[in-house]
Amino acid sequence: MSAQPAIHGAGAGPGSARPSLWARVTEGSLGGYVLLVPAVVVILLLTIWPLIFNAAISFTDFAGGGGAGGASKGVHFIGLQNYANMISDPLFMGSVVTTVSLVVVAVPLQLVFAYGAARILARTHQMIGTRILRTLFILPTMMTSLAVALFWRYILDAQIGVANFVLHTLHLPTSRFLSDPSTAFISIVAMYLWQWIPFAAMILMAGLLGIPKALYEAASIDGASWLQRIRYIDIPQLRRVFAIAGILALVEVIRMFDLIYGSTNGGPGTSTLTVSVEIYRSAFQNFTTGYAAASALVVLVVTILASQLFVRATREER
Amino acid sequence: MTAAATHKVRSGRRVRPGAIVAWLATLVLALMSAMPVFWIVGTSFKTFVETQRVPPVLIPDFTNLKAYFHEFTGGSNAFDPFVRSLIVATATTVVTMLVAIPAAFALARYAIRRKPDVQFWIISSRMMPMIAGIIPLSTLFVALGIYDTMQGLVLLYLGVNLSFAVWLLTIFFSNVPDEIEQAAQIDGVSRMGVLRHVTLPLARSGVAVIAIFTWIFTWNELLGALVLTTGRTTTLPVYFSTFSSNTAVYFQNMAAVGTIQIIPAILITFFAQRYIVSGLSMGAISAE
Repeated sequence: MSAQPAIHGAGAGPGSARPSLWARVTEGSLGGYVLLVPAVVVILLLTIWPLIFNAAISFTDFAGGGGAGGASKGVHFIGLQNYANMISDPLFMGSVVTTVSLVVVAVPLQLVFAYGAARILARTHQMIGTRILRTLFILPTMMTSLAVALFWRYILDAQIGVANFVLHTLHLPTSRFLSDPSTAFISIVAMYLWQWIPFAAMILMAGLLGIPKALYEAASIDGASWLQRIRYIDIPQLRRVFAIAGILALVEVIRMFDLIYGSTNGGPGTSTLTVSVEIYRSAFQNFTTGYAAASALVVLVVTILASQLFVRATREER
Repeated sequence: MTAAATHKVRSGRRVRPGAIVAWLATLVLALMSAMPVFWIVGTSFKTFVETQRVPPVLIPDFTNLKAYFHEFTGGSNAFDPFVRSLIVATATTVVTMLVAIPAAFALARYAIRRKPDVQFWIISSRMMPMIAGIIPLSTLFVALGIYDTMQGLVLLYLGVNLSFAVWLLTIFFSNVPDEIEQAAQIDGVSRMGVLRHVTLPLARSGVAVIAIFTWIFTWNELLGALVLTTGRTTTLPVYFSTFSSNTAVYFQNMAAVGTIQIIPAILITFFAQRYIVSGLSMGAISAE
């Protein structure tokens, strides 16, 4: 809608004495487009083309994923067969249920705990020594999820893990954590929270520090309780910040791969099998590439829709 | 009267008990994040027997570097993947900046038709999750003959990081005052000269932050490298991930590789803390 004129006072300067071809191009009105070409080519090749190819093979029985396997033995158009198979595939549907459960359990917990932590951090923001404490706090977020997975796999080891030793010392019941189907899921949730609460807390802390002090002063004159302050000041003021933190959390959970791959690899059984791990398996271990492409496309569409819904929800509510 | 004095610190400001509680709560938060990491770093100095002991050995012998020697000297261990990851991350950063800087300069300073649409297209191009992109790319890379090569990995990570870099750089370049650039142009400096001698130096802290984030995203990436490499060009995360599939894990070796793997993250956290939140939140959006 904003069709700006292409020629916009960006002509060659009067001082350019001996303009080479390159100089004449970059000085001219087309120079901007020339500078954009490499980036546009890279994005077309590595994002747009894969998206189209992915959509195309999702209607075929293509079996060419990966360099190692991938015996391409003729590709056939099979219509919506891959999409139909998804519904009757207990592994994929199970992974959808697991991923949705992760979203439903982990994201709200993350936001609530992060808000609590953010309140503390905002309170001590100016105090001595808290810069180093905040740095230590944010450390898990900067590490790769793979390291988080492997580190916690050792800490939560049923026999020799330090977690069970601590529980035992405190006379609390010990657990088999990741190796027990009934506790593996919640252990994954805990590992995820350990890594990502600090990140959401830092975003929310920045938001809290931006709320005008006068609001709290007015509230305390009116004798508002801390619950009312949260309800009538923090939540409305931080709506946008909560939305951003929520979308980032949502997307992080839906694409969760490293954390699972490094700790349980979907097990025990299929108790922690997320869609990313399931699609990885069907594409690169079972070489049902077309099927995996269809699943990936569904996940992509759902991700976009879910984050849109999230934005809507936080915007409308008042 | 002494009771009143104890409520004062040297600066003369009153310290309320609530503040002390809040400070201690901050300490608890920091320890909850840091203790597991300290525990693993400590584990890397243990012997195999010590890693298996119950009750666990709390303070290891920090002169025991066996796990590090085992993983980072000699053959078929973490050393080659470590060097490859260094090369791939560094090359990716250089190439990404070389492609992103001109594009961002164009978006910040040139007249481009439908510029907001172009910018939106660039940033939204990375909404695609890695798992969806990697299926077609594995086929493409085999066809191009760059499957299982470091060039291939650099190309992949260029695609992953580019939109983030272009987007943030555009913001940083736009913040450079127009007047300085115009003054340079009046003095006869070409537009590319302005970019090199005026804009880049003035935006250098922003450029550094983007380079650091590009480097660390690449250094940490697992899924793409897992799919696009076999034995010849495995990266450090791919090598590191093999510790998850071994049934009898030598935890001290895992801890040693893990400690080396997270050192860049630790350094960045300490030296670039104030950029992390903005960088990660935007990076996370663009890395999708």
